[in-house]
Amino acid sequence: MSLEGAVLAVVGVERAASEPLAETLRGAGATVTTAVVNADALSALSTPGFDATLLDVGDEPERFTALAAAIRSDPRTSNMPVFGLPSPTLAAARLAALGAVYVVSRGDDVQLARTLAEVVDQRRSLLAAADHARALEERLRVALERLSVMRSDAQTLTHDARVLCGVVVGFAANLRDGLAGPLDATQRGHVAQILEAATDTATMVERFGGAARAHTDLPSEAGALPSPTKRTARRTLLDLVDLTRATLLLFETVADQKNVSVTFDASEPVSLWGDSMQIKQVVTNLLVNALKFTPTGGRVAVAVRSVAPRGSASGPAARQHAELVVTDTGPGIPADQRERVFERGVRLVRDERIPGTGIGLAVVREIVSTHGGTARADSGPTGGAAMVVRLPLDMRMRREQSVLLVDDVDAARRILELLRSRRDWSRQPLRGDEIAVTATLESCRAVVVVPRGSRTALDDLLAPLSLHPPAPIDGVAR
Amino acid sequence: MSRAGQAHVLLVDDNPRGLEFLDIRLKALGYRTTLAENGEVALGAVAQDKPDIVVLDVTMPEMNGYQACRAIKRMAPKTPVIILTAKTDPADRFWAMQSGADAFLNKPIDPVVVVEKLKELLGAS
Repeated sequence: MSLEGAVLAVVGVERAASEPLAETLRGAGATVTTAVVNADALSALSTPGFDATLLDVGDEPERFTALAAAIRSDPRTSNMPVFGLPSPTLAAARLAALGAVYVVSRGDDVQLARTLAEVVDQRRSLLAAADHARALEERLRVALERLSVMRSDAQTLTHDARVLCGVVVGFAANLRDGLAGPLDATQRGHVAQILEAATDTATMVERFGGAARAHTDLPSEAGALPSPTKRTARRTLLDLVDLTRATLLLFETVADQKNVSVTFDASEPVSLWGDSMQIKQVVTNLLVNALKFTPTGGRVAVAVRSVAPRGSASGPAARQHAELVVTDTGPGIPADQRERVFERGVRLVRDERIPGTGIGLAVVREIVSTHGGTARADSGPTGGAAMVVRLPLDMRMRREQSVLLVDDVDAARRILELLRSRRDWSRQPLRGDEIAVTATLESCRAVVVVPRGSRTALDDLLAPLSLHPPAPIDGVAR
Repeated sequence: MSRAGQAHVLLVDDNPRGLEFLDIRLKALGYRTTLAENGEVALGAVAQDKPDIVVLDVTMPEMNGYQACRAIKRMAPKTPVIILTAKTDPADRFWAMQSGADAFLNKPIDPVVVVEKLKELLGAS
């Protein structure tokens, strides 16, 4: 056991009496300072850096009482290990008054050196661990501070972006309503696009704000980690054909400038249950890619159709799907890379000189997955890319359950009428305007009618159906 | 007020662009408008010009929209106040109602909706 590097103080009743012990310790590698109690001991010990102090009390522990008390009360020395070295005749119990923890017989210097080495080693490890913990704490403090700044920045950004969208919507609406003079049909179309894009931007920004709040919410106690935030979809019944056609309009100019012809093939409406903002994002990302990689004079073909279940398939394959296919005459995606391109940040080496972030297709897949669908890359007839997105038409694929809240008595009467007359949806033909209501009802776990007026109205409405007024559901009271 | 077109609307927003589109539309519809760039100026305008209705932004320096609304309601309890803000937290709707506002609308909004609300409140008052 070595005392290499240890810095020790030996305090005795006189310097000469402590010298043999000091020598032994120096022999083991320690740097030793000797001092005399009630003389220079206190000032010697106030110098920082001692690993331990040895009080060579002999037969006179009383002479060390004041010094021991001073060591304990001074913050510079209060944590320092203190060894009491009594004469063999002195009872070890009396050492308690000095605050000594380790008791070693005065005659056994080898044992003393060993114990000292252990204590010094332990103490240094503890100090190093404390330093490390302090450094970690500091890093955590800085990280939390930055997180809080990010949170507040996100809130400001969300608010300010909504204000700006408000200006865009306000002025665009003024243009639409002829406040700046009459518009022709094309101009009206453009203004409608501006209005829609500004409203979508505000919604997107709002969602970002919500996500930022959720992401920066810290657990109140260790272990209670917030669940990872997922994309949440707000779904309505939408027509994928209409939505795709409207999105294509936004790319007309880009396509014309690049002399790429864009065709759209859809023979009938394809209604599905989805988040229109997110689905629009999917169509946009696929079009951006197709136009980016298609050379001048090339073609981009977009098709939307509903796909019947395959043969005797069961499970997800047995459901009817909406299929969106975007095919281009670009270089295509090598077969071994077709899965990789959907990973976040992944770009093909070949495409490095073309600007991009490698996020577009990852977003496509995330959105499509939350809708219970699939996205894959394939090869088109000319060897270009064919991106195939499939979304389930089946409303029961919705992951979250919802409650339909009806606050208009007439609407409620019509819905209840529909419920009463068409108990079995699947066997009866439905009129067009009933489809949306049916789709909504099928995916709901409850219909809550909140008539504006008296309670009697609700009871009257429900009586023909032998239904009782609904109980509050998940905090939604009628 | 016999005709809404003669009504006087006070528009309060520290951002000069914030309610300009509404100012243009209201003037085109025959309303008289006054613009105020903060809560203090708005209170002065309420005292002096006695507007028929006030449209208030919330995020303004010194005196925010809720404070301004409370002060306006003390001075002219019958003057309707519409809070038009980009703040979407449910707590903001609560504060707006607490301050005595008659309507709470979120930016961005189609100005047609604001004008409808304005007519509704002017009709009621």
